[in-house]
Amino acid sequence: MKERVTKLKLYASVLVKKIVFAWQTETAYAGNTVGELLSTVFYNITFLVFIDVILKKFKLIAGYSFPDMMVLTLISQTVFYAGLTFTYTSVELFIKSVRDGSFDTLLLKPVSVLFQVMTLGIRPFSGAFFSIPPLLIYIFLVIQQNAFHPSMFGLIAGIGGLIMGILFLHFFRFAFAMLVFKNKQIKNLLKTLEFLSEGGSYPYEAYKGIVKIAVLFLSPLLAGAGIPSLYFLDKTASLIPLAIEAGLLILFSTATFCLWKQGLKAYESTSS
Amino acid sequence: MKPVIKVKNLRKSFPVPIRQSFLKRIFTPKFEEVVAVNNISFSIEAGESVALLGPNGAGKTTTMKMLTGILYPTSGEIAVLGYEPTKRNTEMLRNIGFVMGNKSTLSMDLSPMQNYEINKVIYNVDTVNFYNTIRELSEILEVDGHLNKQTRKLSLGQRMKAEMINSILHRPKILFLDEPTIGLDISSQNNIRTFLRKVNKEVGTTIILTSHNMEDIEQVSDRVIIINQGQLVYDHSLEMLKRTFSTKKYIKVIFSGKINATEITKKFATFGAIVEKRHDAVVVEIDKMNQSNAISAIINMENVQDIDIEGIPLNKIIETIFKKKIDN
Repeated sequence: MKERVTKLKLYASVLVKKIVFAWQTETAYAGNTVGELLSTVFYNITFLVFIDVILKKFKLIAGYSFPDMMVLTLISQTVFYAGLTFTYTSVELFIKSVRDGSFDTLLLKPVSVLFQVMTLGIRPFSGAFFSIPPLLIYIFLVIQQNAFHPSMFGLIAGIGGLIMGILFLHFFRFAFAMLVFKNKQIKNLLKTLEFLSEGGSYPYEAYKGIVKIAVLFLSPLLAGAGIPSLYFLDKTASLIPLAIEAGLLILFSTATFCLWKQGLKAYESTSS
Repeated sequence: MKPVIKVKNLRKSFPVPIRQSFLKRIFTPKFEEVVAVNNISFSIEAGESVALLGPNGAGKTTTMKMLTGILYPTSGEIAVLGYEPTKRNTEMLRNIGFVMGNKSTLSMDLSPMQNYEINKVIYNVDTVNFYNTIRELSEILEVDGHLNKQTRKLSLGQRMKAEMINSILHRPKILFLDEPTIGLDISSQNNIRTFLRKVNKEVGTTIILTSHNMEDIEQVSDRVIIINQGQLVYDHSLEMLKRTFSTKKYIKVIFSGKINATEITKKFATFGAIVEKRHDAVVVEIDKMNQSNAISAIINMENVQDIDIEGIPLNKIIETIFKKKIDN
């Protein structure tokens, strides 16, 4: 027990140090940081204009009104920024490290390598810095449109779905990232995943037939945002979507751990 | 003394894709097996300083990476401090350090000091020891004024020294070094060699070093393991290696003016093989037994300005061993 507490303390200290480390690294180049903030704000403004124009013409998108769309977008942006804070940079740095051989140095440290990999680019400070301005816009619009009034069941299921969605997104990307051990170059595959993530900007009900099932596997943002939105907006009382999301989370987290174990054995490093 | 490293029948091969058409490469890829390390065995005792030598692609770095748990062996056994490296035992990892001359372990965007802070936490180094070690190491390596600068702004020599501190901050029992002096100026090279010798002799750190710079080997190592084409071809003390080749000597003769190449070649060929010839100097390899005869003959030659006698340089000895293996 005492040993476990010591280990836990060590990992907590390493995590804190890594967060500080990431913050110091990012703030070493202020121009770059401000550039990223501007790009996220600009993206969200153009997206809002687009939704506004569409809804003025059609009134509903797959049964979603403008206030519903604001809730969906708030959720999908929350999931996206959680990915930006905890996942995307770590995945990028992990792939780079395997390709250039700097992964070697992670293998030499006396702490779990997977823990190191998953916290390589963890950046809560800058994540908050980038996400708070656009999220405030959506929160303001949701309040202004009086769009968020879920039932107790909807709220609890929605929060559960949101947490599982963020974790699913995390493991979904890492599962694919593990292919770098075998393939060495997977840049274009990840680019494809980014495009697929765009699917999460629209309601789950917009997809029909087999596509409706396929997109759940292909667009993590859709599963991560679309399913909790169903509950937050009280569009379903069924637990099936939540069960599907839990299934996806188990599937991709298991895949990540299996591919990780195989990957370590296949890792070839780079020549000196 | 108990060995800190034991290697038995170690083998590592890599699958290399065979050239095929684009579609075949995607749907039915074929691989051939390239053997990097082939059935090597050795053991290293605590406090030894061992050089792992071999030509490019011999399997030195691959061996080191298997010893540190970076690569999984294809077959064979390894025990480092009693642990199998790929099991990544915390106790083992706390007690090894690896300096890679060609790779940086420091984040370029931060200062070395900021980088050390995270290792302090990971290796659980207490604050007093941490600052004492940094002060001591930075003074020895003469980088004390540079540890708060951004790493990317350091010169190669300064960065290499900063890397060295990073790898040794936790006072490892075994230090692996892969080309630690590559690209450094002579003064930095000497600093690092002196430092490594000190760490080995005074602290008792076991050192395993690979380098193509023979001065690194001569000044840091006591024992030499030579690997060629993945196989272990030599494993003895450095002294033994030199003694084996001490039956030969190099005599360097410097003339006061330009020499007649044909005439000199003819005269010197009677003493032994000519190793080097310049417009005003000749180096000839002779048997130690013939040394006095050769010298008296050379002294009587015209225009001889200086004579220098030395043992065969280590790089020539190693080269001879490499060649022998290839010929066999």
